[in-house]
Amino acid sequence: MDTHKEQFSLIYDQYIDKIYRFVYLKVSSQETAEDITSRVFTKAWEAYQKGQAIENMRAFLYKIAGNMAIDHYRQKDRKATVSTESVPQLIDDRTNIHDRAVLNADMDAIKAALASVKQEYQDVIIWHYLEDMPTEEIAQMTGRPAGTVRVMIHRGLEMLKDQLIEEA
Amino acid sequence: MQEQELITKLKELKNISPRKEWVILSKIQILDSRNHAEIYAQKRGIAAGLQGLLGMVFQRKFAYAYAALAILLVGSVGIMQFDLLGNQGVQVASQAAIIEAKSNVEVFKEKSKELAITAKSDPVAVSLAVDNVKAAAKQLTEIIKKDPGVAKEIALEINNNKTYLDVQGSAELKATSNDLYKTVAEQMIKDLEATSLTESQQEALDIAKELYDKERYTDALESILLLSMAIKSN
Repeated sequence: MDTHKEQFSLIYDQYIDKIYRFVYLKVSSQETAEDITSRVFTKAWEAYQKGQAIENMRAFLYKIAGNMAIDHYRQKDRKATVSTESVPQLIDDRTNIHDRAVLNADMDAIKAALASVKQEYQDVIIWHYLEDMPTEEIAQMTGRPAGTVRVMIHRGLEMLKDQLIEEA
Repeated sequence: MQEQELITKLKELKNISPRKEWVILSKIQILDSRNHAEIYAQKRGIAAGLQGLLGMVFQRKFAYAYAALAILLVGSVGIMQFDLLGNQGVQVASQAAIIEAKSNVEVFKEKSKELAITAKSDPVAVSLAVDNVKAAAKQLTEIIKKDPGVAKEIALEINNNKTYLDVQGSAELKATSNDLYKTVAEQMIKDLEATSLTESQQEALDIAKELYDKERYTDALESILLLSMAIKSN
């Protein structure tokens, strides 16, 4: 494997789960998430091969992923719904069937609520709580002041709570 | 729900992860393909065409399944050439064996399609159609066992037709067709084992073997075809 491939292979390994999760939470379909994620990395690999200057690979990947998810909805003109037939594996060590059923129901509700929150709030919630990204990093990545990001996280959580109450 | 409880539950979404086999195969496909944009455009175009055509005939879900399969398989046609892997130890079939296999593949395809049509129009005649498909599948299995070199010739075609069986198949038919997938996958794994593979290709082959060991023969076969496509385009 040449150096370029080796380097991109490491980037792929580092980000594939994160980008897949980010896309899946937006499109709520395993097949679509796999398709979009593949295209995100294909595009990134093409840019990488061309020697395009990529200052922040993570920001670059999330940017492409976000745009492709938006394009997906524009093209299909449909809203996000949680597919019950193609949910990716949730790795969980709870073996009790009842516990797992309750967990899955809760998770489905959270996923559905998250998918319906406004995109910019959805993004910061995913980055902050699922990817453990500090507000300063999100601020740097999005080009927004850290204070604005903190407010967005707070508002996003409020919206999520409201959405869950509405669904209940 | 309190804020802290919501945050805890949000964090549990970290457990969402992609399928391990998809992660490996997708990486190979991206890194090992020569012209990604072209391949994707080609796959999407053909898959969309097939989906539209099949959507008119079959249920929507079935059409999606077929289109998804087409995405996996488009571009794999070249794999069926016997110089595919270019390595020693790979089974090579005689011209006569290839012709015989192709003829039997056509019978298998025809009988599978007949079964799908019969199931819709004449439910009484389904058992006869099922028997015909079973006989064709058994015949193909025997041919591969007799001449393993034809496995590659058959792989793509039976994969293309498996959706007919998935929709209409009885348990007995599934067992027969499963035996066919098993035989084809087994032979293609043997061929790939005799081939020089890169580290990531070897990883993909290991996943296919794992699927085979778990008796997920159709999944194993799809993984093998995808891997072969990556090798071919390299």
